[in-house]
Amino acid sequence: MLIIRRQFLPVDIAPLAVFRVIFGTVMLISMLRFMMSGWVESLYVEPAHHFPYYGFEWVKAPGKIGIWLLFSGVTLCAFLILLGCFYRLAITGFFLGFTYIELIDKTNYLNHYYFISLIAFLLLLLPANRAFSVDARIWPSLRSRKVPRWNINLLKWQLAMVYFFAGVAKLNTDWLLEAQPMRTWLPAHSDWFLIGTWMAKPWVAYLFSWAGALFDLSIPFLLWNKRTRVPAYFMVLVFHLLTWLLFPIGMFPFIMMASTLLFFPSSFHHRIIAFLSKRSYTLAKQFRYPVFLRLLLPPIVIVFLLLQMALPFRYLLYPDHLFWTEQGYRFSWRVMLMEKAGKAFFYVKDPEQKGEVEIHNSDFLTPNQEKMMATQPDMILQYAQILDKAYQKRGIADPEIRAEIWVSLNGKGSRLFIDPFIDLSKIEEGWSHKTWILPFDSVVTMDEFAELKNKNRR
Amino acid sequence: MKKQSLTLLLAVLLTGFGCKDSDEETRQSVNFDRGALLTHYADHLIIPAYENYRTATGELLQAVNGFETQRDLPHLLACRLAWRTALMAWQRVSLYDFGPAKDFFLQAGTNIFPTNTMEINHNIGSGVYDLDASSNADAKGFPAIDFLLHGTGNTDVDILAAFTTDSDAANRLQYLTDLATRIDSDARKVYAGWVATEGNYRALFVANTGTDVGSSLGVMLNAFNKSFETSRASKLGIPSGALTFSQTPLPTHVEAYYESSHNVAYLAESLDAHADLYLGRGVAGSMCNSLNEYLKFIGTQHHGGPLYAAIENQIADARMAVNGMNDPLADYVQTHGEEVLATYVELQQLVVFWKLDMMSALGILIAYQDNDGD
Repeated sequence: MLIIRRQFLPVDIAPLAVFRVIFGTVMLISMLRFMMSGWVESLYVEPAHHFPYYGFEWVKAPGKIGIWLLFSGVTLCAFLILLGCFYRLAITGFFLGFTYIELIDKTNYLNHYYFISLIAFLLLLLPANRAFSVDARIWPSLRSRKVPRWNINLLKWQLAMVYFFAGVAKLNTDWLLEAQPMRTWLPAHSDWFLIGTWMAKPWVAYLFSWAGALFDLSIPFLLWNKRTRVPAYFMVLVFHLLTWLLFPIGMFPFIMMASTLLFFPSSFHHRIIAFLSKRSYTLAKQFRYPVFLRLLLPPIVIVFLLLQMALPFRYLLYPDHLFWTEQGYRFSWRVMLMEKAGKAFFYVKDPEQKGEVEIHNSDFLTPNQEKMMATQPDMILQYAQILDKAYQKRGIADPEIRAEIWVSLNGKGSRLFIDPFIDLSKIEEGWSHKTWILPFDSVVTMDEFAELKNKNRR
Repeated sequence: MKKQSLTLLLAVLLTGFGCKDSDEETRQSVNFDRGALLTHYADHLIIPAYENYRTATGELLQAVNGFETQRDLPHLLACRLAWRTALMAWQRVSLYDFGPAKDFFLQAGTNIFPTNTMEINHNIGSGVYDLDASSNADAKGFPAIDFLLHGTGNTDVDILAAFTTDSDAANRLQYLTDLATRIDSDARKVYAGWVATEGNYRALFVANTGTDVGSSLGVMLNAFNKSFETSRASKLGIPSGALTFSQTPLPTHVEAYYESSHNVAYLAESLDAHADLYLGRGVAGSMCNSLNEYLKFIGTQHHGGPLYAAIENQIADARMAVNGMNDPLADYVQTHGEEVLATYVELQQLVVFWKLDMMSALGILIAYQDNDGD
């Protein structure tokens, strides 16, 4: 009980204000970088088709002008968040706009985009503009010196969950016993100066795997604890800089290195504020939520946290190997966890004619979409639907669509992924287990399947 | 599981030194040297292939010029032979569709088939044409010359007549010369783009030793995989009818349809070119700096055996299936549909091996566009 009561005690607002500035800054950079890299065009304008999330099929790419307006709007919101100017409006706009963009196409799903949506949602609930902000300058009545402790802890908890669940996800045989996928990825850096020779050595892959898992599992506690905090943050820097150098993971390391500053005490954040602004931040009252929010927020926050803790384990509801079926894979902090690649051959048959056509996937998808689709069953179904519609338009009343898909997981060799004879156009997407995914252990090899195919033809 | 990783470890250690016996120098250090690999590919595979292609296109142009001055059967035959040699040489450069080849649109203008005989005859009839126009993409290159040299009459006498007594003879000869000139000048431009004394793309290529999307290895392998898939589809898939609902073979869609006595050889040469890139088999130099050796070095497994061995086997299987087919392919696809489809499946397995297993093992993201990962 005491620990819950403690959550409502007033604490200094400085960490929250600094977190807002950091989040706004990193988001501003991320959005500008995204736009300048030409990804708006290549990911949201050029593709002829998109892969929306189940239940969010109403989310559509808004066209060339629309998507640029959306990106500009979200970028402006990031800037306003950084300033703390019209904060409520800006954070609402950012959360909705950013999430909308992410929902357009699951090809582009990244854990760190999901993380950004979650943090934006949480910031929406928090009075992060009550100090060190334009809002507080314009409206003195907003100025607050203290906020309830849970405001800060909620964000810390969210950060801790990212690391912790990423660590839990690493507790699998591939990662721990075979050092996969590190063993596949690290040798690519064998040209590194001095340490390159080690990159191809198995013991190094084991070291990275075990150290990574240990880091993820322990860092939330080490950051939270006053005595271990400084060395822990040093480890955060080493870990993320290393992953940034080793893997193409974009902004994620920087987002995490900046966000985890939140764990430092308020005196630290006062120094940051003092460094950035000559104006001593004149402080007034303690912030208190209006009554209706005081009633409404606790259940929202509790449900949010419970959901966050449950989602990474929803895969337990499905049979077979999670990495293989990917049922319950997303939204679970499974970061850089497997080397999975696929090659899909799709075939469309007109039941009224003899043969079937091998589809040229690039006629329908971008290379990036094709690559993501080939290993993710829900996207395979969506692609079958895309083909179904396209061939109905071309005058085939009831196309039959099947796919021969080869997938290699963590260096275990390509094997047949789904039932190659099932008509995918007749399958409805849903929450239930996709029985047409072949069991991971069934291992149909290419030679075996070629023999089967040739026999079928005779 | 434990046993498996132990054998894997052993395999890594053993195969890691696989190349040492045969070539002590190239494997001084235990780490695999991508710079050396790229240098080997540039100097012993890519640039020699372009040089050979440029020589062949030069000889084709020369033969055509000879035919221009003396329009008789020996000179026609000389043109045909030079055309065949050049098309064969093309099979060994078409897989390097990056760098200068991309800059000069080499792919688009050289070997689009089936050729558009109506467009060709229209161009010849009018005598006015722009070979750069998109409408002429399928009215130029090797397939168009194939039609001119082998398809403008039923007998050699008729064909000679098309270039001598026919009312369009002069225009036709001019068209042939224009096509040969274009192929040769494209070949020269791309070759010049690679060599050190001119465009020197070689220097860029050799220096970019990373493994990301824009690195030389990434660029070369993406082009390699795309080229192999295209080769499989255009040389075999489309003519076999595997890409149509009716499954009716399309004999006129084979490569070098009019010449018709070396169709299988072009397919075999294309397969060999891809296999040699994988194996690092060049005009000189050690095969130790190859993708095959790289896979040996990192010790990737494939269903109980080493991946490199599985790929080598599949190359042999595919080669055997291709060799089993007969010219003219236009007839063969109609009479031996099953064998053609079986060959098509063998090539499909190679697609999976190269595009999926090899790329995955190399730790290169096959992202044809770059993006954040996580």
